Amino acid sequence: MKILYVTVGLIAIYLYVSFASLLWEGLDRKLVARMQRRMGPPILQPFYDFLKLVSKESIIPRDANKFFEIAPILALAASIALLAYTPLGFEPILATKGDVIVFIYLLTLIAFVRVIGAVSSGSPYAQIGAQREIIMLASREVPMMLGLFTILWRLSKLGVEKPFSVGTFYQYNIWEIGTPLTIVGTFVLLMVFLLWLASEIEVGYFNIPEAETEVAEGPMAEYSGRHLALFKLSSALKEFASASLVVAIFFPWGVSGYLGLSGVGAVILDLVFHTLKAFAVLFVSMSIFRAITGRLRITQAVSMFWSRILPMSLIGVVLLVIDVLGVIA
Amino acid sequence: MFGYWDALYFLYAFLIGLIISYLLMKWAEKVSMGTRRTGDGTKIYISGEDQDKVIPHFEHLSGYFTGRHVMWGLIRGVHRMFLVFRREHTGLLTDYVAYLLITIAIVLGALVIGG
Repeated sequence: MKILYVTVGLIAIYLYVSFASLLWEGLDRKLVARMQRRMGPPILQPFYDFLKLVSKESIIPRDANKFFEIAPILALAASIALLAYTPLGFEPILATKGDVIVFIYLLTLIAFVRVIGAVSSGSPYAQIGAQREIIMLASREVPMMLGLFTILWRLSKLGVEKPFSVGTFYQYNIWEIGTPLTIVGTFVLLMVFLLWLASEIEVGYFNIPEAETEVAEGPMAEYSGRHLALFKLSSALKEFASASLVVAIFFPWGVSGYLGLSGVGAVILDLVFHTLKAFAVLFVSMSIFRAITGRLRITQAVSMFWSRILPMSLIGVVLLVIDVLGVIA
Repeated sequence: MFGYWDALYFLYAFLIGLIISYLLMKWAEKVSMGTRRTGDGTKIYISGEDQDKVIPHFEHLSGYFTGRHVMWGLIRGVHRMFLVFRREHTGLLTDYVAYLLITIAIVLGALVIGG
């Protein structure tokens, strides 16, 4: 019975999130265009892009090896598996004891597959993009995981059964603790997570690996046609999943409880409400961030992570720890 | 951390992902204009640059830039550590205890990172 539930649920969620994430890409392009006083493409442009890319010829360079062609399939597969562990207004389909760890593992795996594909393409531009991607990956995960595990630890003090599971965020809300130190600390960690989200989806400051004007889209330099289409879809899914994590940690409220709904209706309503919240988070972390910041150099980005964002995360952590230990009453 | 079934369910979810993306790829292969396996690349080498040697604007990256410098940095660091040890060495028992502690710390660090 559970097998059937997992299969049908995962495919349904995959279809829904593909639609929602591509729709968000279109909204994002339109919004940023309006911020820059341009007309912008139609909102459905990402769907047209995807279909157009699928129908175009795929060119495989002479120097590319087998991984070049396998990487897009693996990246999309990892993204789809990621959706099984993504909180979408309710617990993930495969909610287990340690699904937060699987979630982070899969996010990293997608980046790794992109890097493997880029390195296999034989293009030096892709190599440079891949190096940058790995450097960013190593820098951005540290403050994020520090903050994430601290929040889970803080919530585990309230007596949850499975402290490393996404479901914890729906049992207890970090804002409900309500002490001043927790609120300030959580707010600091929210800033860290918004910056992490911007770097995870590589926009604004952190559009370094795919710097279009500089290294010709970096890891994606040699990809074209359907291979590029699969990568684009995979990044769109990853964007939505990453934003979903931020929403689940900081804004887990549902609406179905207030309206007294239950069953399928509640699930659908919560899913739609969650999608709107994810769009709101992405609007701050992606659209506005992309519109008001320019690309940093890779050294600047790394030093920003280690000398600004990591201390920021540490401050949030220390505030939460002080609150738990009761040093200041 | 994970139960036996959770690991199997993860594999199952990944398998579903693989099947969906493989089918998508096959469908795309059928409806697209096909595949061209030729050429030095699609976007970059049209102007005829030598891909093995020089990347425009990244001339300083010729050779194994990063690898070579990291290697020399490590060798230099280890060398400096031994120089410091030799300079500070007095032959007293406390020195040997300190070496032992440092070695244990390094081994423990390696175990923690590796394990």
